[in-house]
Parts: sequence; C-alpha cells; structure tokens
Amino acid sequence: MNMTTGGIMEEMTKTSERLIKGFEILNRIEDVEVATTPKDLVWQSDLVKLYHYKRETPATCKIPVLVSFAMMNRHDVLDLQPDRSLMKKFLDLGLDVYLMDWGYPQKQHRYLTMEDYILGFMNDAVDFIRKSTGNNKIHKMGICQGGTFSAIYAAIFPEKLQTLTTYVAPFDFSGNECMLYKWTKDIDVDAMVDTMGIIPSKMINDGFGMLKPSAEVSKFLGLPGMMDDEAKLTNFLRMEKWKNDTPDLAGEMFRKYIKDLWRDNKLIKGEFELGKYKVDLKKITMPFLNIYATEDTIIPNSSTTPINKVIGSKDKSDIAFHGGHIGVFVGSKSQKELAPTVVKWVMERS
Amino acid sequence: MENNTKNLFETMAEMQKQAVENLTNASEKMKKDLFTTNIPNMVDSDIFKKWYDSQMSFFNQNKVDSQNATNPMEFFNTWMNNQMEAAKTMFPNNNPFANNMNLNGNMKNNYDNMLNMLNSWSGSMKNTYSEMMKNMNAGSGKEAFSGMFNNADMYVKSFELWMPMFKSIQDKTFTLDSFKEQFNAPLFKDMMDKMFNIQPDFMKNMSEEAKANMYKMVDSNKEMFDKMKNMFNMPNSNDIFSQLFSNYNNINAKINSSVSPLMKLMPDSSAKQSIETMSELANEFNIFNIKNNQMQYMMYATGLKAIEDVAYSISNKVRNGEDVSDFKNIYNEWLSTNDKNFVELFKTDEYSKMQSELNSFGMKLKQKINLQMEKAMENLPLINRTEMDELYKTVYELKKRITVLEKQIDNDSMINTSATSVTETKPVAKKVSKNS
Repeated sequence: MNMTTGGIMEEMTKTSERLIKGFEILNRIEDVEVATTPKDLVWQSDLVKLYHYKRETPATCKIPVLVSFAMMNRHDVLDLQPDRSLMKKFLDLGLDVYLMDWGYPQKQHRYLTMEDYILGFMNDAVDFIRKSTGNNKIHKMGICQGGTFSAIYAAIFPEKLQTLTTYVAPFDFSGNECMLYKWTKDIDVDAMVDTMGIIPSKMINDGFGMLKPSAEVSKFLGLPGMMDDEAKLTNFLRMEKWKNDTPDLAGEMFRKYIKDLWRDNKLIKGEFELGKYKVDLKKITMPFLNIYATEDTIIPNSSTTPINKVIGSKDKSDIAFHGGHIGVFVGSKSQKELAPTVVKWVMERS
Repeated sequence: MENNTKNLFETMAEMQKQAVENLTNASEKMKKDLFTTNIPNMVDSDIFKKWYDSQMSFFNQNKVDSQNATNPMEFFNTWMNNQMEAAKTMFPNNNPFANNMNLNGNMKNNYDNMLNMLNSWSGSMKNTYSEMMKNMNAGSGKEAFSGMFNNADMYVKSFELWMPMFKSIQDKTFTLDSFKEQFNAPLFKDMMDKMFNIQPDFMKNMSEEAKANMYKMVDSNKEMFDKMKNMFNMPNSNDIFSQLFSNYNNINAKINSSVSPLMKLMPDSSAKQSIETMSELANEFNIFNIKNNQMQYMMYATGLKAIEDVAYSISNKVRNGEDVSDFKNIYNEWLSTNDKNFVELFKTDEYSKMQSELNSFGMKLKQKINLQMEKAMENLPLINRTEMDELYKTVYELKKRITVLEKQIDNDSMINTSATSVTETKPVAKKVSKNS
C-alpha cells in the first residue's frame, strides 16, 4: 500500500468494495442449517431431551451408544455439516447413536443441581435406552464437561455401562496452564449464583473469548476472501452460528461444578460427593478410552490424562489426536482418523 | 438580576480558561510520561472528556434562570461558542498531537487532508452501515456482516492511529521516539474500549445516572463544589489508585460528618433507613467505580505496551531496510502482539484477583440495588424478583416430587403386571357335575 493520499484512497475504496460485496453475498444467504442428520425425539424430562439418530440400515453394533456433550455449548458441533459430522460418521460405521440435549435453562431452572443432571436426567436417559432396546448395558460417550459428568456417572452406576469413552474432558483441575483454571480458583461463585440465579451464556463466552482477545476481530479478516467460495463461506457461517448459540447455565449446578471440581479438585482426589454417593473413580471398571487433542488450549492435556491412573478399569487407553479443543471434532481428521478409531474400539468391546 | 447573569457568565468563562490551561499542560505531561518507566497518566485524557461531558450536560439541563437573564439564548450561544473554542484549543482537527508532529506547510496540509478524508469516509460508512443492517435479512449472514463491519471499523481506527507515522516509515526515519511523539492516546483508548467491553451494561447506565445526579448537586451548590475540588489533590502517577481511594474516603467522610447532625434530628423511620441505605449504596458504587478504573487502567497499560512492542518491531525493520509498506502486516502484527501481551496479563495472579474482586463486589452491589428497587416498588401490584425466586424454588421441588412419584407408579405397575401374570397361569379346578 502506498502510504500517501492516493494510497489511502485506494485502501478505503478496496475496503468499501469488500464491505459492499460482503453485504450482497451475505444478504443472499438464508439462515444456515446445522445438525441436519435426521433424528427422532424419543424421551424428554423437563428441559432435557433424548434423541435417537435415524438409521437407513440396521446397526452393526447391537449395543447402543449414548453421547453427552458439555452444557455451555450446543452439541450441534458434532454434526456441524454433513461432510464433517462425527455423528453421521458413527452411523455410517455401524453404531446405534442416542444424543442428550441439555436444553436451554431459563430462570425457573436456576435450582437444578448437578445431582439433578447426573442422577436424574442422565440416569433416566440411560435407563430409558436400556429398557427400550432391551440391553442391560450401553456404551457411554462424553465430550468435555459431558465427559466429566459421564465419568462421575460411570463411577456410580458401573453396572449400566458396557464402555466409557471421553473426549477432551477435564478431570484434574489442579494446574494453572490455562487461564480458566486460575480464574476459577478465585471467582466468588456464590455471589454470582445468588445474584443472577442463571449464569448468562455471554459471561461464559466472554471468559472463553479472553483466551484469545483479538479473535473476535481477527476472524473476520479472512471473510472477504471467502466471498467467492460459497462452500467455505457457508462453513464459516455454520461455525459462527454454533458459537453464538450458547445456553445459559443452571446456577446451582454451576455452583457445585466450580466449587467442588474446578476450585477444590475433589473428583481426582476421591473426595467428591454427589447426592448420597461418594464418587470413587476406582469403581470405573468398564473398558475406558480417553481421547485428547494435542493442541487443546482450553482443557490442557495435563487435566485430561491423569484419570487413567486412578480408575479401576484394566482395559484403558489414552489416544491423542492432532487438533484443538473443537478442531478435533470438526477437522477433516475427525472423519478419517478419530471416528474409525473410536468405532473400532467400541465394536471390539461389544 | 442582570448583574447576576453577567457574573455567572464571567465566572464560567474564567473557569473554562483555567480548565483549558490546566488540561493543555496535563496533555503535554501525559505525552512525555506515556512510555517512560513511570506509569502512563491516562487519567488526564479521561478528565478532559469527563469535563467536556459535564459541560454539555450542564448546558442540556438549562440552568440559567430565564426570568433573570436579559437574553438567555444569547447567553447560551456565547457559552456554547466558548466551549467549542476551548475544545479546538485542546483537540485541533480531532487530533491533540497534530501541532506537535513537526509537520509544516504542505506536509501539514497533506496530513490534514488525509485525516479529513478518512474521517469523512468513516462517517459515511457508519451511516451506510446502519441503513444496510436495517435492510438485511435476519440470520447468520447478518451477524457475519456485523462482525465484518466491526473488523473494518477497528482496521480503520488502527489505520488512523498509524497515519501520522506513515511518512516517517516510508522515508525510513521512523523510530520509537517519533512514534511516541505522534501517538494519539484518546483514539487508542477508544480502540481498547471497543475491543474490551469491561464495564457491564447495568453499571454503565448507573454511571451515567450517577454522573448526572452529581452534576445537578454540584451545579446547585458551587461553593460546596469548590471546597470538594480543593480537597481532591491530583494523584501522583506512581500510586494513582490508592491515592484516589484515600481522596474519595476523605471526601466521603467530610460529607457524612456535615450531614450527620441533620440525620440525628430525623426520627427513626423507614424514610431515614432508606436515606442511610442509599447513602451506603452510593458509597459502595463509588468504590466499585474506582476499582473498575483500576482494572481498566491495567488493560490500557497492557494495550500500550503491546503497541509499543509493535512500534519497536517496525523501527527495527525500518533500520534493517525491510519493506514495511503494507499496513495489513502492521495490523496483523498488532493483533498477534496484543494477544500475546494480554494473555500474559490474564495469567497473572494480580489480574485474576482483581477480576474476581471486581466481579464479586459488582454482584453484591447489584443484589443490594435490586433489593432497594423491590422496597421502592413494594406498594405496586407487581411481582418482584425475590417472590419469583420463591416460586421457582417451589416449582422445582414440586417437579422433583412428581418425578419421584411417577417412577414409583411405574415400578408399582410393573410389580402389578408381574403379579397379574402369575394369577392368570394358576390352574383352575375342574367343575364337577351334581349328577355324576
């Protein structure tokens, strides 16, 4: 760029042209769809729903799989677009897949506790699948916070699970590698919950946003260059749609989650209690697969891997995949490497 | 009466003159201190804006007694013109440093032309943007366009920030010192404010209201305001916030001691309680604002360090003869350096504790304010937040009870089904005929 009056005019003209072109193209695009793999609603309790993915052919694996995502984001990222859908790939490879939808907590849900979510919703969903499919045990999968909750569930009800697979899930909260781990040690969660009741998704998003402060500005730098590539543009918009679709969190659940796990690290220390249960990770005795992402800056590997040392399972593995916390699911390698590896592991233990 | 108006005008004019001189001197000091080992004195830049805002709000409140003024509109026009002249002295061509860039003749004209062109284009883009957004279909495309525009806006602001240095970069004379001379601190502050929305919305609204109320109080009692001004010593830049706290506590104590005889005369009543509670709230709100300023200060200081790092990098490139003609590279370098510096800040214990303290204080303050609002509205036929929370709790407990009962019914019906099956398979005795 020529840093003179003429050069500046040229730069302004180019910026104007990009904005106008962006307006024309973006205005033509109707709302992009995510999570398009067909599924049926088979069970619901209050705001929590259970979906069963439709299959065109009978499942190769007779034992069904229940997938639980984290609560602070929607599970749609697992089925963001047809050519990069982990759920669709699981179906193609022969699994019978159920998915928990945690819903959108409203003000009246402020008193929902961790007990309600794990001993209530999760346990009821597992029992529904067991009863409706005639299987005594099912395969359980959990992602991020969903993985932590699945592990807690597995320690309380090991008799109901055939296998447990967790993805990029935090178990050991003692480190300070990631800022979230440091901040949660200091925050006054009681003041937050007592004042707000429901934790707003904006607050959670802003916290995540501070891990890379300029991302909200810089991610749009490449957008003008995508205007001529509709597929790329649509994929970008899908990711943006997912990022902006974040639920609020039930206050009481959030209180215990932060205090007992993030602040006091009770789970890995064997001190965590849920309702009438003392959660002993040694009671996880079913085959266990722990997936983590090598470039995960949100849940560092040092938080994910320690669980393998404390569980009771004899058949247990860690597998690392290249990618970030989300990229490991939506990247191209999730189709070629992650899904086939997981499905093979699950099938061998069915 | 005419004399009263003229005296007021003369007093105002003299105050303006003094304020402009003080602030011009403060601005010079700020430039010199900006990148030294002393903590940059960003407070001065804020003071001008707040002063200007306060003048405008004074104007908008229409304080002149129209019965006493000979020609109120003339008074206001003259007063308003004085404000504009004062602003121009401080901020010529919207840039406080234009006169200090050692530009002369054609170079200064060229710079002014570029700046005017940029501002005019930026303004028309913003107007166009708001029209475009009205006509855009709601959905993912609209949000993405909004993001794209915000990025373009930040890009243009960054462009404007670096514009004074373009010439020296092209001429290969750019140094860190020339950067410091030409740096536009208020514009940079705007960029940081846009990037980091630190103050929650409810606090921003409350700040504006508190400011307006403060000015009303000040305007109605100039003598008291002068006394307060004298009590408020300008803080030393090395220890700004503890001095601000100390100054604030002094003023608060003086106000409380002057008001307390009056409060003692009041009988105990809900009105008195309300006044005491509001006074306490106002005190806590001011403390929150000081803490919030401390947080913002931390952010600004980190942002300044980041841009200083970028300037240093560019000066090295210029010295080494590297090509620095593409502004996009400067912008990208600023974004990544910004990230690096802020992530380092966010990882510190100091930041974590400050953030938690501010959040906790803000939450508790919000709770108290909510309670006061409920008390103020208790005679109205409205359901308040506390009552709704009680209702939510009841609904939650009822739902749990229903779920337990439903499961019991399911279990019971399963048991009954099993029992019925057993009864049906029991052999029935053959009926024997009477005649056999």
